[in-house]
Amino acid sequence: MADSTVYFDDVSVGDAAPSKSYTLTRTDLVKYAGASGDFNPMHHDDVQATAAGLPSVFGHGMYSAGLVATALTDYVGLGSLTRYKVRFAKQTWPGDVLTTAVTVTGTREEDGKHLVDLDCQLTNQDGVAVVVGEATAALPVRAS
Amino acid sequence: MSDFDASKFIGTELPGAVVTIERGPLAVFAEAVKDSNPAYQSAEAAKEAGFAAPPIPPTFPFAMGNFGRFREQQPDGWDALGPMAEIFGALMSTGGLILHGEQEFLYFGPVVAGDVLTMTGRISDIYTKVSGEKTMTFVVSEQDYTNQRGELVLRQVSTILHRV
Repeated sequence: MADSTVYFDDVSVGDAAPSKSYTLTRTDLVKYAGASGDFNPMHHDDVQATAAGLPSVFGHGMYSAGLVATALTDYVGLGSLTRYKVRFAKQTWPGDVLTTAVTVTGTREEDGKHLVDLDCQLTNQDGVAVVVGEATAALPVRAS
Repeated sequence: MSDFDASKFIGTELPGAVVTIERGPLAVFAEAVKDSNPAYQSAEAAKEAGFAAPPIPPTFPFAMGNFGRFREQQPDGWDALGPMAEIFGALMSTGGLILHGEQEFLYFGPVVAGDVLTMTGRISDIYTKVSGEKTMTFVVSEQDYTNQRGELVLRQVSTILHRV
């Protein structure tokens, strides 16, 4: 994996990670329910969800946050994140097409660390942000 | 509106917990969030990526308390109801919805399969916002995780809200 390392020297404000799109399925939600231990029926049981007045089951916010985290670590590498924060802005629904966006907003040095600040979002097919977040990664520097 | 005053819970300690990090749950979690990085699935790939064992995915800390909380390792009081249940139980008595507003993770060091983390937590803030007809009560809780070597490796901050 050493060949895919991202170096601080190579990152500039405005750079963007490759975006990824996923069509949300009920199977995705059932898998996440099992993998996270979150068995709130509003995320897997359409009968209960519609009885509660909802159009259908809806996605776990933390599932959306997980998709964004995957886009982040695909970009900056495993083990380099120092902070990741998300706000849950909108619900997600089966059939939604969810697309990640990760952008570099700043680069700085602090306490000998080379830090990169990132904005991240997950948007639906209408261009509405469902998760809005920010992250910081500490990246290695190329040996000069 | 009830006359329940949630703010008196600011500073209250959460019940403690000991969480063992296991390969199976973290590997299944990585697949569930569409992360195909081999370091989560292979001990060899994890070593090549610089980890002693497969590491946890970034959002796994929110879920890991549902796994690896072995009964015999738990501190006294682990099964106490806790202030979160008390607060939201009281708020829900007047109806409404509980929503996850925000989640923050601070990563201070690697967490890998085989680690045993001790959690201490507290309610750090409670505040209310009124928007139109809706009243929202925000409860912010912090959890700190220390590994078996005494190193603080992780903090997570959750904002859960009640809307009525």
